[in-house]
Amino acid sequence: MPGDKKTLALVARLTDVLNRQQLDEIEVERTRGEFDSLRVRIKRTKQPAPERKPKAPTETSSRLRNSLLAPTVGDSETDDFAAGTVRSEMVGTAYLKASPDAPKPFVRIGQAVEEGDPILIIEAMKTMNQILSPHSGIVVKVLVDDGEPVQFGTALMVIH
Amino acid sequence: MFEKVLIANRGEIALRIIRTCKELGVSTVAVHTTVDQDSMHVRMADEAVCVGRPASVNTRESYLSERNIIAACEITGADAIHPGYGFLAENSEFVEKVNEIGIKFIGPSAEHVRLMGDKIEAKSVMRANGVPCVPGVETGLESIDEVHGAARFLGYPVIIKATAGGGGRGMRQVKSPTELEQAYVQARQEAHAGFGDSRVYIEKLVTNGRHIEIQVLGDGRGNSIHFGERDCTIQRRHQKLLEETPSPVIDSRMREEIGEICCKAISSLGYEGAGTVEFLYQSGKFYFIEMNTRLQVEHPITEMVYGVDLVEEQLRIAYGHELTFSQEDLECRGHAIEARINAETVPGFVPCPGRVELFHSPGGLGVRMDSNLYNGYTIPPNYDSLVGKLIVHAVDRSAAIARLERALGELIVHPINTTVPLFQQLIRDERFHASDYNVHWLENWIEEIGEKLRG
Repeated sequence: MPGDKKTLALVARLTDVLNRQQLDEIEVERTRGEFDSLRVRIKRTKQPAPERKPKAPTETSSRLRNSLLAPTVGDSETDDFAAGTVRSEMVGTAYLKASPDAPKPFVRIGQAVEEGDPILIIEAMKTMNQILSPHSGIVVKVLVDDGEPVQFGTALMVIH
Repeated sequence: MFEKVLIANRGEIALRIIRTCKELGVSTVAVHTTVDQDSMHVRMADEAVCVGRPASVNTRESYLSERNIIAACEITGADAIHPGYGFLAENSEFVEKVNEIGIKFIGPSAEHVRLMGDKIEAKSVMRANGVPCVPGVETGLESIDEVHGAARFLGYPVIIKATAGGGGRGMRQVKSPTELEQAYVQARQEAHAGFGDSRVYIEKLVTNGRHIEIQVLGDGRGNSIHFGERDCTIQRRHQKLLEETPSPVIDSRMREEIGEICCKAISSLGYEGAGTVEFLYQSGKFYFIEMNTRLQVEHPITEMVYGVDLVEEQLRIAYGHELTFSQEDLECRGHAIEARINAETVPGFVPCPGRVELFHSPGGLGVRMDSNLYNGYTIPPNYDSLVGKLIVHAVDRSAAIARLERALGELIVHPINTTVPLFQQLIRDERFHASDYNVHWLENWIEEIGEKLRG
């Protein structure tokens, strides 16, 4: 009977939906007659598998290869830092001005600073931490931009 | 799922977490100290933030710097922190700070971390929830008379422990009433010096037990499942060296029973995330020791026999998903063993840091090597000496032991001394095969075998 073929095709399609959507049950009730009716019930008890969107594997492996081929940096504390470089002791966001609408930054290139003068702010955990100049001298370089994130050890300024 | 997770740890566990994040398409942020900038976790993560110098004994720098680690989340836009184990993993104040600032701590609530961190409170809550505990007296130990009374009530031998303690400090075993007073005074002094809290409690000493721990997962809404036990009886000075699952001394009926008890307890707490309920097991009885509110070092053996990724489950639960499995879905298949590869010279276990000229990882069927080593890596002297975990999985215990022996033979960490010779001797010992040992056995065995372990 042609109806059997149709039914088989429907079952195959439903099975496919069941698998793809990770459903547990699909119940279909179709009545033909004066008033056609269709009732569908689907059931899913298990969570769908997590969505996976891994990054391109080639990207990862070439990055790793390049990183392993690069000479190791070693312990930065033994590196010879340029004299007068002020490095961050904190992780956070550096601000060169006392507030966003302050007319000028704490310091400018060429400016003389005393030990203990505020030179910038680092924000961490919603707290503004004033960074003070560790020594007196002239500001030779400002190495961070206003609003730039900094890590432990990031060179902030050079003060000679 | 989370967009970006910061891993507040280093070494093999940081890598372990990064690997699952990659598979889930979650970006990763590594944190590191100045001596760890060449570490594998820094190379493997999408981003890295230097958080300080290595910590000296009394400072809270680098991996313990709450401020720098939270700030690292802020500057990288990470929406969750995975703490790994150790460092900030069981620090309830940190959990509170992280959650307050709107970053998700991947683990239980601050309240549950605090509760389980207080050994006495943990015990009384677990006892109230039907978990079997070591008989003990926790209060009213202010005078030596009260201590004598408590010890008499429990029956000798007893053990005095620091309320705020852990790791063997402030602990004293007492075999008879004549030793009690001195032990009590010393334990209090040690507890005060070590933890700034001289309170102690007293328990019946379970002398010849095995260390059995139950892995649990809770969804934070009162549902939980367990992944059977891990047998961590092979340890030295409270440091685990080799773990296996299933335990050779636990049958499936006992597993289900104790697993169900643990699930019931953590469900009633509304516990969220991965946890481990640790027991001493002796003569068919379980005695609760403590609950670790984090991922354990030895979690991979559970993953192997149950075919699950516990880190993925942690991430999913933390994101608010329901548990992926029901208890009926879980079936323990085969046997898994983990050997901890420490950069240490046996038999003295003296740390052996230094440059790794040649690293070769074992492989093949049923072998998993979780390690942060690579050729040319310098193992810094500043941290824990664990440099890898060799995990094997096979159909049964004897096949797993044979596989472990085969894999140990393939592992090269030249010229660093490691714990490999210890395992090679151990798995040839008949007593190990017979699994006839308790938590003290390995220490005596090391003394006995001593010189054989060199090289």
